[in-house]
Amino acid sequence: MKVSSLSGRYALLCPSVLLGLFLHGNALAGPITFDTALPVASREGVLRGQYVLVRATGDPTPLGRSITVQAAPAALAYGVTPRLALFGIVPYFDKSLKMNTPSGRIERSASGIGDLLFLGRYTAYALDRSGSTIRLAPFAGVKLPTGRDDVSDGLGRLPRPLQPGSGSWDGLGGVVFTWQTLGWEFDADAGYRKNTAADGFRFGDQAFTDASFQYRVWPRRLGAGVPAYVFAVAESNLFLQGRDRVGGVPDPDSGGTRWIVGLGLQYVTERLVIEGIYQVPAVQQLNGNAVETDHSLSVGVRWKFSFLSS
Amino acid sequence: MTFKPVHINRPFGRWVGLALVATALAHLAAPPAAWSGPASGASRQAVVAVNGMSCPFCAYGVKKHLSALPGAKSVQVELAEGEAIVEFVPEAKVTDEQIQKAVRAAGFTPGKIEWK
Repeated sequence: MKVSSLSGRYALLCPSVLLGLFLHGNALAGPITFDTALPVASREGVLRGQYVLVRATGDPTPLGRSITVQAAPAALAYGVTPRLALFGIVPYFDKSLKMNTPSGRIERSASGIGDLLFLGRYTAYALDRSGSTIRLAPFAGVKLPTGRDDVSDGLGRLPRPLQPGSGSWDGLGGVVFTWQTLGWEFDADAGYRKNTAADGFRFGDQAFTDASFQYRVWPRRLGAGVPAYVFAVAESNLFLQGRDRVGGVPDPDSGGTRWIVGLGLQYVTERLVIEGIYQVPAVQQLNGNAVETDHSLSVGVRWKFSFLSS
Repeated sequence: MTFKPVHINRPFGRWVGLALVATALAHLAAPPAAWSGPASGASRQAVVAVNGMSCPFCAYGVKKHLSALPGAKSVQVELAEGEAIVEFVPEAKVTDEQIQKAVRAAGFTPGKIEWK
């Protein structure tokens, strides 16, 4: 099997699922898998750590490919002004591929720091009322090729999607909408990711749209002060990815459409959010013989801090 | 018709003079019209409506920015009521505008401010 073909078959899985899970994710309260339009107070920061596990074993070929990706992205958000927030996200990856070969089942794997993503988000519209807010915020970012993309093993250089980094400078932009009340929150976003080529390989561009509904299940009635919340969370992530290009030629085994849905829980206090979500694909219309995702799990914590002295 | 000379009691006159000077100084030292809060009393408390604040994670920034106001002793957020109660030291000289600016810096829209 040609390396180019092999790489293409994982291209949809690794970048789109993982990037969709957290690389345009946020550090604020709100959705678990993508950004929100809620504000970051000026001179305030939010630190977020996550653990993400993705399993994909749906191989339509006799290769019996099985992919496991573990990621630990760390994100930092900072409020420059009440309307402008900056985000920095860096993931740590551990990626593994098992497959059948004439000489038996083999495993190829790589781990390391991935690509660094910087995002800026500006609140363009806010309608604040007592106990509710409606916001709209465009965002844009750039991904730097900070992760290694030349990891090799005994069989040679690993396919690009198995590398911790992409090697390319990529751009990302979109808009996010949030409607939050004391009892529930709805978020939705839409965006586009433009990928560039590196070493003759280019991941397909990606369009995405996400939605999240969070409903306060506890406490049933709000008491005095600032009570902790427990939210039940339902989320949807839709990705449409173009074919990768190897040496300028589209890879037929890459790209496609993936719609992922998930259920989760969030425990939210004034300074801390603890959360988890379990996701499964609802629709996977992948090009060629790409491996289908089975499920993914994400758990994480967010911690808020301030540079103000009081 | 004769007029009796008016004799002002000297100690009394001194007190009147002192009172006039004190009144003048008090006027000079009085807060500008923008200053808010009760005219006197040991406790100054502002109840601030914070529009848009609707989850626990949002309340932290509001607390921090209001706590950073000069003379702020404590801040209590009532999420269900959409308000923050700020207690100031008696000598605090804080204006409504400063409070509104703090709420905006936290990312929200200030509403009515009531002084107690």
